[in-house]
Amino acid sequence: MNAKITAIYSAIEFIEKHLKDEISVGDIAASAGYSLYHFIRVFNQTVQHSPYDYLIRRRLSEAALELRASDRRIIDISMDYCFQNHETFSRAFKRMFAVQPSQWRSKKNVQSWLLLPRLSMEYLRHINKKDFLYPKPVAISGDNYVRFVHGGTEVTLHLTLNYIYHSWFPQSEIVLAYAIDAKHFEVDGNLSKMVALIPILR
Amino acid sequence: MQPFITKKPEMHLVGMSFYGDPFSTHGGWDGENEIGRVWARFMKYMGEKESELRTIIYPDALYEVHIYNEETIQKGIFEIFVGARLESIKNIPIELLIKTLPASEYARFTFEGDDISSDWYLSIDKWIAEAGYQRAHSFSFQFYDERFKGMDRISESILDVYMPVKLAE
Repeated sequence: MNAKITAIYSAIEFIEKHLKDEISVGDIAASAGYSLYHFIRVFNQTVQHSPYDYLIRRRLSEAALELRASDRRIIDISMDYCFQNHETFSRAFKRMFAVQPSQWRSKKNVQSWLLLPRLSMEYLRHINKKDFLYPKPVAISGDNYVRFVHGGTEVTLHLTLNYIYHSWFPQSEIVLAYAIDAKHFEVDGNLSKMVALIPILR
Repeated sequence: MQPFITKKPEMHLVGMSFYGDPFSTHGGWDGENEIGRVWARFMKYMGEKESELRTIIYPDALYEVHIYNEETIQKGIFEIFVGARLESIKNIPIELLIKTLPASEYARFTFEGDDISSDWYLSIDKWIAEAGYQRAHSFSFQFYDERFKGMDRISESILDVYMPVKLAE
């Protein structure tokens, strides 16, 4: 498992180095020393994003940060991150952030949790622990919830929250009744497990 | 790892297919990935329509075909087709697709046990390059017969992978 994580992390480093270059998923696979097919399998299992999805989300996230930090033209920023034209960029941007790039730039508050941060080795190790549990939809007396379990103490709770916020939530079709944070986690039975149960709107 | 070089005539398969990232874990809550889901869909259909399908397919073996396209290298997108060999082109139900694999020379690689879940594409491409061959078509297929005991019994299973090849130009 560690060799797998190390290989995938090297792929993530390769992606980060080339956010502004034209690279293919084939190039990323080669950087990790896997065949394309096997790489896609291992990357999905380890990161919980497909490699192409991760690449696009990282490009969009960096572009989104730059939109708010600089006055540069939107088209110039989008070209930097290898989007072929304004339309392709806007469409992808809206899909990830639910607003147009211009709105994202001018809004007072943005949903910054939709940004996908660069994933760390610590994070990859955390979500690949044997006892790491993915969120699960559950029904309790007719009402629908998503059940989040954090195996571990409060020290690593931020890693589980990172996964929920930046990775699981943006990829799911589920809308939670309210945003989740550390205070929703309650110690469940023994001290090494914390559970949050959040109602779903749809 | 020494493959067996073999020629095969044109072959018709009937089954179902998926187009996208085959290992996306976000396609739904059931099944581990899209390949598992397309297999489950096909097997369920076969189970329900067994009597009607008996005259259409050879049920002795199943095929998983990987079809590459221009988005494969770029985005990691494949077409995955699962199916069985077709006996007659008549009466194909609307739910099923037909694929024609062209006549070709193939390198057949046999994998046993844990090697089935290893990165065999890497070893195959390495062998092809070193043996002075190249891939001949934009697909390859896996052949599942009675030697394959199921995903839960990989260690006792045997799988053949067929890669269309031709001598390098």
